[in-house]
Amino acid sequence: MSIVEPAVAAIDSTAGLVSIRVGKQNFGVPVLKVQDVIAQTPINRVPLGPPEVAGSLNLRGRIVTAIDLRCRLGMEPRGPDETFMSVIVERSGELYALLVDDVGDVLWLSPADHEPSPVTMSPQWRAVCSGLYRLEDDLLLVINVEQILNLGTVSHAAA
Amino acid sequence: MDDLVSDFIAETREGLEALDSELVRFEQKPDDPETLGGIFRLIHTIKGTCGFLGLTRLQTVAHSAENVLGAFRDGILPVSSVAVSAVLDTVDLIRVITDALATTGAEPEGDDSILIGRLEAVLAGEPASASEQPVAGDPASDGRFTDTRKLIERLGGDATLDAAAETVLGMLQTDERFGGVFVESDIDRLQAAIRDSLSNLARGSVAAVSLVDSLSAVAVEAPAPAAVHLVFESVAAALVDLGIPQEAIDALREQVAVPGPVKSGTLPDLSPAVSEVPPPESPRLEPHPDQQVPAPTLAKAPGVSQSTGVPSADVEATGPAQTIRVSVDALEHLMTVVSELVLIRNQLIQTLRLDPESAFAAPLNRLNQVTSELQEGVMTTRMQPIGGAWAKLPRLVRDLAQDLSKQIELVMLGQETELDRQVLELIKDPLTHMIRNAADHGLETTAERVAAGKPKCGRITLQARHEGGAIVIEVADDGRGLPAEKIRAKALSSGIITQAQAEAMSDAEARQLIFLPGLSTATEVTSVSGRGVGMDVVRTNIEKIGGAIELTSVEGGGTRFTIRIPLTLTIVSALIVECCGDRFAMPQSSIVELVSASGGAGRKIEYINGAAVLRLRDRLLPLVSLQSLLKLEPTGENAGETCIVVVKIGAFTFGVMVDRVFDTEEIVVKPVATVLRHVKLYSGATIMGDGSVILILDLKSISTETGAGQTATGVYDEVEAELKAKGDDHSAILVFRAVDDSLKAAPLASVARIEEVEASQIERVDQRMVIQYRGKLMPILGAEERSVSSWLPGERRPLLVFARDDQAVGLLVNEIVDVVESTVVTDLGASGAGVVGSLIIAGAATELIDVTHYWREAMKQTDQHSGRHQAIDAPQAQRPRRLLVIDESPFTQLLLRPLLAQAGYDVIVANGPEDAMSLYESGESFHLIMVDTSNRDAASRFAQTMGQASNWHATPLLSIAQHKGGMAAGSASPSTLLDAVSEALGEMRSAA
Repeated sequence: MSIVEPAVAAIDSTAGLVSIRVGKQNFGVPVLKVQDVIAQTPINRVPLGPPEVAGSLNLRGRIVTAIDLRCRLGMEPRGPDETFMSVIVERSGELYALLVDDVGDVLWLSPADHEPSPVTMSPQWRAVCSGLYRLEDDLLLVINVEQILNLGTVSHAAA
Repeated sequence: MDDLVSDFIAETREGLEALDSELVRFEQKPDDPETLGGIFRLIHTIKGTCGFLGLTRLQTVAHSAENVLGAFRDGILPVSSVAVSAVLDTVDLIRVITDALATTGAEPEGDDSILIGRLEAVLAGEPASASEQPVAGDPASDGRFTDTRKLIERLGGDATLDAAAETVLGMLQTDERFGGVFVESDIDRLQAAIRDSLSNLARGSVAAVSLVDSLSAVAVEAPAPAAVHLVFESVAAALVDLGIPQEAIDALREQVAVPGPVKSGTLPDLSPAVSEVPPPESPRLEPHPDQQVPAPTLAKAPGVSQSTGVPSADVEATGPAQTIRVSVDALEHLMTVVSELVLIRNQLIQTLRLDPESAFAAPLNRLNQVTSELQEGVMTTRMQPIGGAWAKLPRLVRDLAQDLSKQIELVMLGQETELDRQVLELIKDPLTHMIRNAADHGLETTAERVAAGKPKCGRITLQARHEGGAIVIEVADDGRGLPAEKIRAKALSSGIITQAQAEAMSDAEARQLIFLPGLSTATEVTSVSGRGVGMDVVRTNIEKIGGAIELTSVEGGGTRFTIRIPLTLTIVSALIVECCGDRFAMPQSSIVELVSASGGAGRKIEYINGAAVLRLRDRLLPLVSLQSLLKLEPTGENAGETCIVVVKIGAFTFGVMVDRVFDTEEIVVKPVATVLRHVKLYSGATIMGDGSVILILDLKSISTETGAGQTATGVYDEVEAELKAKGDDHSAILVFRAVDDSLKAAPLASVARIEEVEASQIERVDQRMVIQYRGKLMPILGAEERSVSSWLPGERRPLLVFARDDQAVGLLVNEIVDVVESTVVTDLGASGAGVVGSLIIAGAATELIDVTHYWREAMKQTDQHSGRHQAIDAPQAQRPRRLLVIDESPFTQLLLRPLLAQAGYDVIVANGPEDAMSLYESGESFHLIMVDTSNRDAASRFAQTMGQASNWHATPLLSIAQHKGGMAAGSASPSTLLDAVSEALGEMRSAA
């Protein structure tokens, strides 16, 4: 395997981002965190669960907790006719599905284009994003998977 | 940490666990060669591995223990309690060091010289027998023995031979010159075969087996003579490397007699070897001279015991080869994959149903079968014999026996019973605790046992068995039993129960109090137990895994705990229900029955001030709405929650309202995600056959969530629970609006049912109002013609039904208001007709009706108009018999009084002896005086009172303590009490 594709070899393989769209905003999820991307699948709701938890779904025999990113990011709820996709991520042995509106390509970006989140961004978003990338015609916010799954457990636990 | 070290730790821990029970068995049966052999091997393995890994401290300690064990094995040293204790302590030390090794990755610092000194002292304890033994064992070869003894010494002893044998193992299995005969062999056995053969030959032991035979025993086929030669030469080379002088090796070579054919003098055949063992060896085994097989001989040569057909050595040796260590994660993953496979199978089967002619039918059926088999197989990999959880117990009991100076025998039955490893882990601690309890509290001291005429040795029996999809574990002792009186007193003094509760409690109930927190029957705290943390924790832990614990005890005869736990936590049987379009699973173990409340079956849900209830047979069942509990939005299609799942959690029974009920299914329980853990109502989630995920409801949490589980108001028919849950004078009171619109109240316990009637149902028969009720005519009170005629057509009004035996009386009321917990302010002096007292409810004074009065009224009507109910008329035909009941507890007010009054007696209740005295002073007289004498204080005051009341001396007395206890526990029927009353009155009549 002496022939390496130069384009790939030049880029830090850990910097890949799966681009997703939530509402009108584009985000990126670190590619190494993503286990799977699945199309629309039936979700069974969980009564009394936190509002961000859309329910549970079955991914090849494992139970996956679905987190609606629109709700998590404080956006308008999805209409009944709008489709969604799931990005499966893992945290301490448990699987979570991030419900997004669309999933795009994997982008390999140069660290030079990375910037910290602007201070003017809402605290809610700043808490779940670890900076952003300047694309040619767009800005791509990087989702911090750990943080986005941290549904204010403190307040819930106290309740 | 180094992989080798972590493997060593895992292996050592496993070995140590096995060792505990083996050592105790060994102490009891010191002449059992298998046990001894097993222990020796374990310690030896530990020592060997430690040397290899450079763990010097462990190695030194293990070495000392091995020396002692080796001396036991060779019969040089008699097995004594002191020696076994020293070895046990060594095992403990090894465990401590291993644990430290596991956490820090290095051996902890420490000085073991004292322990090693003890072991050496033990070893030196019997120096005389060392030289005596072989002489006794083989007098004929005396000279030769001395010689070869030297040889084994010159060879550096067994340890050196073992090390040399170990060196060649790798070569034996890989070198082609051996023809591959050892490739399949277990290396431990191979090593042992070489070592033991050489060692025995070097000693010139009569049990010696030639090297070729030893090797043949562990190889797939007998190795060629050249191969045997090569084996020996390899060992010899290793011995040279170990610094053994060449002449000693040459001497050994002579004994081994290789190369060339096997020397016939080395006992190639086994049976002569055994028969030739001379009897003089047996006196050494003084503790058990009756043993037939001289143990040490057999132990020296595993090859021998193997071919004699003594199985265990063989089994133990081959055991490791037949199992492999698999990580739990790998099993869990396999389980997940299989679950998924099952789902896919289910989907395929579904499509097959739609198209039965499909070409896939046959392979699908096959797939179906194979999948089921696979599922079962994977399930069994999780199952482990319960013996694993018990391995430490014999050691525990032995130590306890020594600490407590008792003689204790632990009998374990059903060790092979298998259950899920997860459950196994969870019951380990509760079981240990219970065994400890049995040894410390349960069993008497030896002196007490002898005095009680019992065998000196106390017995604790531990038994496990399968019973209907569950595991039943019994822990029984033949000790002193649980002293009910003592527990009662203790509970009373620590404020767990009140005086009244204590009195109303039967012995069996009192014993159940040990499951409450903060109660220990031990009078003093020992090092073993008695700190008051105990059975409540055990019960909690067992209930946590869906189990239940029961207790029976006979004072002086022993105590038996019966634990029932599910086979596995992963797969449970659950009822699938639907509510508002969502499905949920409810664990079957807590479900009592299913009731339809669609109205068609005559049952419907009623509301008391917004609280839903259902009339179920003789009682009101509080209902919980799953819809409101889970804040579900009702869907259009299933408007009404019409199915009721009756759930029993502890003593509390309640109904859960759902829309639909599906089948019971075996579901695979999976944990809920961390982000959902705070929702206590779910105990897990599962994947259904159609691939959807549904939640498993935690019924215990539901009962607490609704607040219903906290008090026992739901079970008003269980007086026992009521007395336990409530204070002295609090009771559940049904508040209603009587026909005259006044607020009235009745003890909920006295109301059998609440019905609804229409005006048209009420008939007038011969001056009295009745309705047809359950095929009989039931008299109705409060149904004056005027009021009934004012009802709107079709209007239904509530009817309280009071019942006793097969008699029932209805009281018509305008409205049911509420059920409250309240303090009854009894107001006996001022009681008007039909009123026994009053209470304050929401600021308004409410009269508590005298149920008896209404009962009597109704019966009087019946009596006057139809002359029926002779039994009840009897006392009334004459002047009613007057009974005086002296009792301070609310029990009398709530139960006894109405009961006696219903039977037609005129009942006067005195709230204590002082009250009775004032009645006496006012010149009252009675036909019978009933008194509760179970409270000693009250009883003595009563005796004093009676002493002064000379006019009452002729009045018969009846103690009601026993009846009260029985009735409160539900074990005695009211009729027993009534029988006792009429009997007492009968005596009076005949005396008069």
